[in-house]
Formats: sequence, C-alpha cells, structure tokens
Amino acid sequence: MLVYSGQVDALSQRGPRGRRGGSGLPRLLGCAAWLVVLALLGQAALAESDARVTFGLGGNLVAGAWNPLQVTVRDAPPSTLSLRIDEGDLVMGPRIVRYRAAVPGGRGVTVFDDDVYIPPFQNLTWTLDSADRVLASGSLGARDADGRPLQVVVSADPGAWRAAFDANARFVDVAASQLPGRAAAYDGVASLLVDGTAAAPRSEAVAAAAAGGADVLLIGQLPASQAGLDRLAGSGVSRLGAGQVQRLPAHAGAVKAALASWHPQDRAALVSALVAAPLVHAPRSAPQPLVLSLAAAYALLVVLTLRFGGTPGVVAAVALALVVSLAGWRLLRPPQPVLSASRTLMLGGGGLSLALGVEERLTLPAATVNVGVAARPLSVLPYRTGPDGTHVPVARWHGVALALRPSLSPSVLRFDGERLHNAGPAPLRHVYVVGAGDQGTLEPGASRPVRPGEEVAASPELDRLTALLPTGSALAEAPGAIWVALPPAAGQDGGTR
Amino acid sequence: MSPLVPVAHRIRSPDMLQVLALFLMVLFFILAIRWPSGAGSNEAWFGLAPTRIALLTLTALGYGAAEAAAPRARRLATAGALLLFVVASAPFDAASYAASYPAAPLWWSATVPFLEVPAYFTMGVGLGRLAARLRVHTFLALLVPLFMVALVWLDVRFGLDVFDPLTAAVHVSWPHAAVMVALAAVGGVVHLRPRGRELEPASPGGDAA
Repeated sequence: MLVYSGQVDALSQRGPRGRRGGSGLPRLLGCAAWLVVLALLGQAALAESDARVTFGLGGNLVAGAWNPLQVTVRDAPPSTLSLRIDEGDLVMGPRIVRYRAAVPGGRGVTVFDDDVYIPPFQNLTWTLDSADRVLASGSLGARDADGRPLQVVVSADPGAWRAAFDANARFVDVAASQLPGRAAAYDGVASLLVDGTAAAPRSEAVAAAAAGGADVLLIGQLPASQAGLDRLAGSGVSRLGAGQVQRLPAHAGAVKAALASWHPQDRAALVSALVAAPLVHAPRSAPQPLVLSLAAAYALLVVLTLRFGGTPGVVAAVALALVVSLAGWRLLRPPQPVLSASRTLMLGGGGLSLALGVEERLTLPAATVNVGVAARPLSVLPYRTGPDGTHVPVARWHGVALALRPSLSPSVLRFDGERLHNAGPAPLRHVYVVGAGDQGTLEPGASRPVRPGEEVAASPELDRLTALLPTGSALAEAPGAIWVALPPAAGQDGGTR
Repeated sequence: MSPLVPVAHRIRSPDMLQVLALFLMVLFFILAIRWPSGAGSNEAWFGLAPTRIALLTLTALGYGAAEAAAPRARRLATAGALLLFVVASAPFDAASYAASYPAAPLWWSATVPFLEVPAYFTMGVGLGRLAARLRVHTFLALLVPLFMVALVWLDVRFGLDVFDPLTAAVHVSWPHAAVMVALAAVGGVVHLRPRGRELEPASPGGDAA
C-alpha cells in the first residue's frame, strides 16, 4: 500500500509537466502506461503482505477430529480468521459451525496457532480479512472431508516406508518443523514415524503426539542430535499418555508388525461413555396435587372475598393476588436457570495423562450456553467457537453435552512396575483393574501391587468404561475425574503382553 | 365516593361473579392438565397464558358489546371489574411462568392483559353500537366471537401481529402493544368524557345511537 501511494504522488507531480509539454495522443499513451505500471505495483504490494492458512498437520485435514490450524501473515494488519463449516446433511439440512479468531498483525511474520475441531462437513469456507480488505480466503468441499487418521512420516526419504503401511492408509510426509507441541493437534494422527534422516522434531512435539494417542515409531539408531527422542522410548517401548513410543529396527517389516499390533483406545467412544447417562437432570416441578390444591383454595378465597367483602374486599382480593403471585413464584421457580456438571477422563500412561473432558449444561430458559474453552457439542448442533470459548444456542429445557479440547496433565494413577501408585494429593476411590477386579481405595502417595478382587465395577459409569479399555487397565474415581492408567506396554518394564 | 365502590358493586353482581368463577375454573382445569406430574419440562404456562388472555379479551369484548348502550358509570364500573379479572388471575400466570421458564419476558406477560382488556372492551363498545345501529343487536352473542375470529384472521391473512391476543400472549409484539394502548386510550376518552346525554339501554329494536 505504501508503494502504491508513492506512485500516485509521483503521478500527480508529473501531471502539470505533461500538460505543459505533451500533445494529445502521446500524453494519453503515457498515462495509460503509468496506469499499467501502477496496477502492477499495486499487485506486487498486495502480494507483499503474504497470508497463508493451513488446516491439519502439514495441510492434511482429518474430518471428525481436532486439527491444528495455523495462520501465517507477513506485513499485514491485524485480521480476523472466520471459518464457516456446514456439517449438515440432506435430511437435517445445514448445520453451521462458525469459528472466529483474531490474528495479530504488524511488520514481519506473525504466526497464529490453534486447534479446532473440524466435523465431517459438506463444505468449509474461510476468510482472513483485515479492516479494509480480504487477505486470503478459500473453501473445501465434502470430498476434502477425509476422516481417515494420518500416518505421519518424518524422513528425508518417506517413500522408503510406504510399503510398511496399508494401501488405504493416509500416508503423509511432514517436516519436523510442522509438528506442533500440543496433544490436541494429534487427535487425528494414528502413527508418527521418525527415522532420523530428516531434521529432528522437537521432543515436546513427539511427546505430545504420543500422549495425544499416536503410536510413535523411532526407527533405527537415531543421530546424537536426536538423543532426546530415544529417551522417550525408554527400554524399547514406553506408554506415554494415550499413546506409546517405541524404538524399532530400520526395517519396513518391523514397522508393519508394530503398526498391526497397535490398538489405540477409541477416545470418541470413551467420551461418549462418559455421558451415556445424563450428568445433569431437569428439576422436578412441584407436586401436581399441591399446586392444584393451592390454586383451588386461592380461587375460592378470591371469589368469596369479592362477593362478601364489598369495597374492602376488592382491596383484599388485589392484595391476596399479589401475595399469592409472589409466594407462587418463590415456591415454584427452580433455583438455577442453568444446571451444569462436568466429568473428565484422564487417560494416562508413563506419567502423562490425556484429559478428555465433557461438560453438560441444561438450560431451563432458551439460552446460549457459553463455555470458556474450545469445545464441541457431542450432537450435531450449530455453534460458534474460537479461542475465547464456545457458544451453543440451546432451546428451553434442553441440555447439551460438550467435549472439551483434549489437554495434557501429569498422571495421578500410575503403574510403577506392577504396582499401582497414587501420585495425587487426594485418595482415589473405587480403584478397579480390568481383569483383576476391585482394588478398594488408594490413599495419597500409596503404592501397592494389583491383587485379585471382586470383578464388579463400583458404578455403571466405570462399568461402561472398562468395556472399552484393555485388560490390565486401572481405573479410579476422584472428585470430578476418572483416572485411567493404561497397562504397561509389551516389552516395557512391568508389561504383561 | 371512592372509585372502587362502583367496581366492588359491579363485580358482586351475579353475572360478573359467575363469569369470574367460571374463568378461574377454566384456568384451574388448564393447570390440572398441563402441570407435569413427574420430571421433565414444565409447559404449563404455554397452555395457561394464551387461554387466560383469550378468555380475558373475549370477556372484555362481550361485556363491551353488551354494555355499549349502558350509562357511562356502569361501563366504567364494568371495565374496572374486568381489570380485577386480570388481577385475580395473575397468580395462575405467575406460578406457571415461574415453573416454565418461557422466552417471553415476565413484564410482558404481566402488563399486556392490562392493555388488552380495556382495548377489547372499547372494541366491544364500538361493536355493540354498530350492531345497534344496524339493528342486529339481537345477534351480539354470535357477533362477539365472530368479531374475535375476524381480528385473528386479519392478523393471519396479512401476516400482522396486531390484534391476535393468542400470539401476543407468548411473545413480545410492539405493534400489538401500540394498538392496544391506542385503543385503550380511545376507550378512556370515550368512557371518561362527560357527555350531554347518556345513552339509554338498548331497546329490542336496537336503536341505541
């Protein structure tokens, strides 16, 4: 824009000189030439303020999963990124999800990162616009809504590993610098293969991938510069959060076998199991007989007062109506217009847990449910989301269950070899090991071996979860959370498989 | 004399008291069938509020038409008594509103009947006078509900939100409120303005103008 303005000034200065010395046609041609130059310079100026929006890991979007979103702008003013996702279908019609985020601008390069849930969609359109113009825009169709998880390879020769994956697998080659350090960004990633031939990914990014649920495969002897990754794998294979890290020989067959033996937890099913039974219940209205008795008594009283009270009776009837209205309001109004409850499943291994949170809100008046974090409704509903929170319009006396964006936290319930350990400050109740049964309560700091117990889960909720977890997993209840310690992987210290 | 005296006298009259008792009984019946007996959403207000408004406006229209030719004091007393109907039925509205959490604001639900009753009473007076002039006063019992249906039909036919009390009962309608205020004001002027000659009760012939 500055270049463009400068040229306009230059033209205005030359104008009088042209009028003094030029004749008609040459002057017109000169003006036309200047206009062409100005247009080209204007285009160049627009191209200077570069803007790029990337959905998914390395631009590979996974529908029905949390995806990393990156906006890179250069020499651009502050702008707003707007996404419009239509997740409806032919039967239900359009269901629009809107995402909106402020992207800071300024001189130089600005990078904005976030993780956004992208449902299976009919179309997805996005625009990045500043106050005066659109910096970038684009759209994706239903054919781009690929729900297959990614098989990510970080290698200088990714083609060498293609044979290790199924023909139908979504094999993508990603640069190490494109791997974010956030667990939610790996929601749509099944595996991450690092063979040490390319630039080293950050240890945090690899740990986030594993904790987010990916099977991280470290191939062969990694160079010394990547020793940090080796430590993640421990003695060869190591649980980390919802995933694992394993070291493998540089052989496609070994990779194929490792991938075939990897059975990640169905995180979507685990989240659904958390809200299989409602977390909040609509309040019960006052008993019908009581309400009708009071109504009948009031009606009778007011008629009698008006009939026999004369003029004072009119005043008394008005006062009675006011008092009964206020009393009825106090008696029948539910105490809270919005009821909420939340539950978090902490899916852990190796000291890190992936927090899969759900929040259920039931609103008595029609209202927009606001959650201050990134979340997605578990049913198909139109909603707005962004870094500032999630907003879902809900009809009166209806509830909505929201799955919060996955995050990481230190594990409280851990396997220490073959012993269960409570590393938290509060007792863990109803500890249950799939295949071994009830383990009672584990006090803070306590550690004890798994012992055979009664094979009945303490609650229906735990029972639903045990059906989705591998044998040897430990579950325990704490206030607001259910902790899960996945069993040590085969080959890991304490591993049983 | 207190202005409440004629109102108290009017509402004590058998016809009014019976209509009031019937009105409250209908509301009680609606409450009985719409109040939930167990857990779940409470939809009582959505049955009760439109019924209450419909009965209030129909009653006001009917009394207005019937007393078009009555003396001014009598009409004022009747209008006051009809406003007592609004007050007497308010606890039903408040209680069901409290439990139902409707989208319509409470102030709307509480105030709009106080506008509608005088407005429909005024329309009733106009209808009664027109019927008398046209010598069809005998058919007032039929004309009143027909007039009500015609008003609702006008709203539905032309997509308006002006006259229909049922629609106005459950959501805020400023055009409705404006028209009701205007009609109530017209009624106030007509009823309160001293007149040189009070109208005599309508004769069977209906010449009341």
